[in-house]
Amino acid sequence: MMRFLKPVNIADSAHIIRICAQWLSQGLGLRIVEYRIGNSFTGSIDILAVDKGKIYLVTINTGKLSDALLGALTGYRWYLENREFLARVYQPSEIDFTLPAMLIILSPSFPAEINSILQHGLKADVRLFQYVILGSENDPDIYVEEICTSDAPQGVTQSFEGLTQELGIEKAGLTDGEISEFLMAMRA
Amino acid sequence: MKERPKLGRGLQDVSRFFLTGASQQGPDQAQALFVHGDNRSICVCCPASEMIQASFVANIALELARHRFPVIIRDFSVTEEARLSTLMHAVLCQDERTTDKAFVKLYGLPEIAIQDKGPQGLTEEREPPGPDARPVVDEDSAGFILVNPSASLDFIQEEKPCDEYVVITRTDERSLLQCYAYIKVIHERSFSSKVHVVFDDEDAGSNNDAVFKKLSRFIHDHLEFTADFLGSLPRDEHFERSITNQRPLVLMSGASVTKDTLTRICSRLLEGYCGQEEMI
Repeated sequence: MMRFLKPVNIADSAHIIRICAQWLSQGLGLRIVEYRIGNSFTGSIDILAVDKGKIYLVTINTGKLSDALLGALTGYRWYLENREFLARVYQPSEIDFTLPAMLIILSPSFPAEINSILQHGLKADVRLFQYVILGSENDPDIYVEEICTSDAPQGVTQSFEGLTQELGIEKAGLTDGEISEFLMAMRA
Repeated sequence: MKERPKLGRGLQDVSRFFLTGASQQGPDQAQALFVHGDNRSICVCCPASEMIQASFVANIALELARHRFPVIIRDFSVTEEARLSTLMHAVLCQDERTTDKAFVKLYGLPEIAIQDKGPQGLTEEREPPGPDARPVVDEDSAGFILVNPSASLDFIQEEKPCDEYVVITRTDERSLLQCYAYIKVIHERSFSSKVHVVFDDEDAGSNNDAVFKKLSRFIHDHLEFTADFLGSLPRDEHFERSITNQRPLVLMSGASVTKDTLTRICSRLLEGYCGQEEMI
């Protein structure tokens, strides 16, 4: 039997964040460390998550994309400024703050050139995901798709964790994007 | 009583040879370039090889002394073979009363003091010297402090920043990435520190200027900062022999491309401290 799923508007942003967190955990394999970290004045992160090689600062757009982008960047700045403080608060076994950080932004929509804009304007690594919540508010389904344009192929953001360890430069905090860009610049 | 020279006649000859073409200004004039207490600290980093790093420090110390600058070397190396006291053993005078202070005194040149810091940090408290100890080198009166760091990024991140850094790197992709990582950490640690790059190029590759241009552009674009290129250091058998003989390369006799290049690199590094006519 064919089933039609209609998009649903959920007014409660905390509910949307919980749904997205479930997808981050089950769909992307991340471990959620904290929700709503930071503060609204100097920057906040909706979800702090980790995997084996990275720390993810997740921003979920539940309103205007411009607000979410600004929120993601101020949250990133807050994270960089407070990393030492966070390292004292959390156990190293829980989260290793020497790992490189990556921004994740989930939004119902993005402008067409967003990847190219961010690539030229940001030094930080970013992954963008478009989401749609379907079904009903009480029984929602989420559909998530990674936004990837031809000028920023997924393959470029390969993991350089092993290389940085081998060279003893983990503490320099080079992002995969930065390393990838460096290698391309040297090969040019 | 007149102080007897500590060096034998042979070493005096070496130092006369070494002094050829050196500045004729006296030690007082050289020191006068510095305001009292205004030392310049230079840290030399070679992530790929502690031996090359220490050897570079030894040679640059002698070049500075040749230009009549008093020098203190702070040696943080934890590897015995890459310690300055090992690499300069042939010209070293050890203070008999202390184990961590040695010095090099060549005829007519200011003393080069070596502080063997080992794995301890710059800020570590030490026991006060005994009554018989040789007077601690007055750092306020030194022109240059050369730092031979331990082989780790932690050193740059944790220790007091230096005024200048020399990063020695090979020209393959991975070494350049390592060099970039060091420069990034140096820049994050201290915005005002100057960074110089030297290519350790065993084969003396011809496209090194182009390689540095790429590296420099990347550094400028990503760190908004300019690094300086001092040149490429080729290797010849004299370099290996200087390490085996525990005598710095600039003191070795005989024609050597490495020695000439090293002298040129040191001169470029010292531009601004010495007159241009002395550089040639």
